[in-house]
Amino acid sequence: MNVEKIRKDFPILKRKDDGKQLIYFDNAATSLKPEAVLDEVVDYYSRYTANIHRGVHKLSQEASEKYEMAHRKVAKFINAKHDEIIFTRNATESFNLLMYGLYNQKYFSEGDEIIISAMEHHANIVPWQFLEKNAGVKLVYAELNEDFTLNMDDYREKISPKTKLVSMTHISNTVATITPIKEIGKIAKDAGALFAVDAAQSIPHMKLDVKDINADFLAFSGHKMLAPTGIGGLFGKKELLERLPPFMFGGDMILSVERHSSEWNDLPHKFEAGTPHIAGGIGLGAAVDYLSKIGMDEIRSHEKEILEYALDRVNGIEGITVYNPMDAEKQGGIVLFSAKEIEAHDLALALDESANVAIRSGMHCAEPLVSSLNPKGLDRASFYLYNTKEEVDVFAEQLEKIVKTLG
Amino acid sequence: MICLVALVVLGILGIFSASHRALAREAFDCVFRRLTLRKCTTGFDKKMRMKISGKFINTNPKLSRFLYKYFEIISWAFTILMFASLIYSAAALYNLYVYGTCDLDNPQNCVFTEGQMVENKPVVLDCSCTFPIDECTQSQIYSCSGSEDLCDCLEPHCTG
Ligand SMILES: Cc1ncc(COP(=O)(O)O)c(C=O)c1O
Repeated sequence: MNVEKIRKDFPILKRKDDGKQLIYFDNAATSLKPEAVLDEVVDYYSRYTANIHRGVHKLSQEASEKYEMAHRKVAKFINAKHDEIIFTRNATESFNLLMYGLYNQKYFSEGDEIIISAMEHHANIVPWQFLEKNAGVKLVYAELNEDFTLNMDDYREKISPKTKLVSMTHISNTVATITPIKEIGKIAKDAGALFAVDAAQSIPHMKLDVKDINADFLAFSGHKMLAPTGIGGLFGKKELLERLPPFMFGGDMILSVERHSSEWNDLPHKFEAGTPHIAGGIGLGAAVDYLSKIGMDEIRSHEKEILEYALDRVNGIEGITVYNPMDAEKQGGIVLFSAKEIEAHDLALALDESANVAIRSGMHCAEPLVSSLNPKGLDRASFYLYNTKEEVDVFAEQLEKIVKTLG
Repeated sequence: MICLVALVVLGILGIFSASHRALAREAFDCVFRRLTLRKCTTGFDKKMRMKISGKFINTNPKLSRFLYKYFEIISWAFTILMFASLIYSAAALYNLYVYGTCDLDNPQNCVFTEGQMVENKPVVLDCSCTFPIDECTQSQIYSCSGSEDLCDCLEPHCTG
């Protein structure tokens, strides 16, 4: 993998502030966008802007074709069928779609349980809390081991005939743990529960096969995988999606409408009401093309290399505590850390101001876990295919300087 | 405390620059929250503290550390200074409006004093005399009529 060549595809990487080159280590929040994606988006707006599925003219045909093709590309990317991919705004909306669908389907009864892990993003916590309040469902947490891996014994103990859904992250956006997702799914299925996966942090970084992990549902965000913001997706097994009632109602999601009733459209349109984010969808297709061309195995192995180096450098700094499994095989490209006597936001601001290094600080939308590790929040550096060891050097050196100066 | 000082400073800078305008807006939000006895949740004070101390991490770590550690005290000092100068300015404006000078005790020290708008430092008018210019007070006009003997500090007058 030629990182120098890849970096040239990302115009924003040329950015300098106060003469300092931008170092972008906030990839877990959102990724940068390559020219190939930007060009596709501009092309849609400048050459064939039209609404989809509504016009017989050339522009509409072209736009519809490209948008449909994007579904197919994403489906192929994760080994699904094209009508099993619903485009949403993001992973959060995907989870909401699933939650409201199951709620309206009356899938849950009072006393049923949903198991999630203790390291979930709010997107995979808060929707289920709605069911706790409104459907009498109990939310059960599978705890973590000391090294931030998932405690599988605890998970096995908690699963029971009452468990109706297991919704688990594949890679945590904080401690970065890669969960044994296939095994988690098998245990869920054996107990007769539905199995949903939060793949927001895994799809962008590694090869993922929904058939292999036997997921019933899988949520992801396009903007974390080089696509524009405002586009994401939900994979669902066809037979399950067909049973799930629509999430939103209106144009495009219907086959026919009478005065007092309507007939729902085929998948995936049944869940894509109204004019969608057409440019975003097309951009997501281009992002998938770009990632596929480089190869997900290549990307994962590059990130592992950067991660090992970064873990080593950051962990070696006096006054810094790292909160990760500390093993590149067991975790994604994230270093979660804190500095003694410097608050998380202060450290992130200092890195930004003094070295133009962008990292994330705070609760990372995973407050139950992060606040238990540090009530004032933590810092997170997260990597992607365009990051280099030289950037890690600048970051680690500056981090050390800040800790020495302000700590 | 920094929010208050920053609001004034950034408010003025914001007239000229859009980036300062955004910060001024944040400062306003922070001040407004403080005034209504709420916490400044915008993180504006933290941001300013790090923006300022972060600037010196590479060039002057000691100064950076000092600014970081004592930022709250420094902000208080600037706030007091700002209020003191605001009170002084208000009094001066009042005096100027009512008495025609902003400095009642030493009217010659006030550039806006009537009849003194033209010059407030010693000037040499058209001669080469060697009278020690330092001996003139600031607002006197060092003047001469051509011969060295007549060189003298004169009371303020309009050279108009
Ligand atoms: C693990 C995980 N799940 C869900 C989400 C939610 O993604 P979005 O904000 O794009 O909906 C994120 C975003 O950070 C995430 O990291």
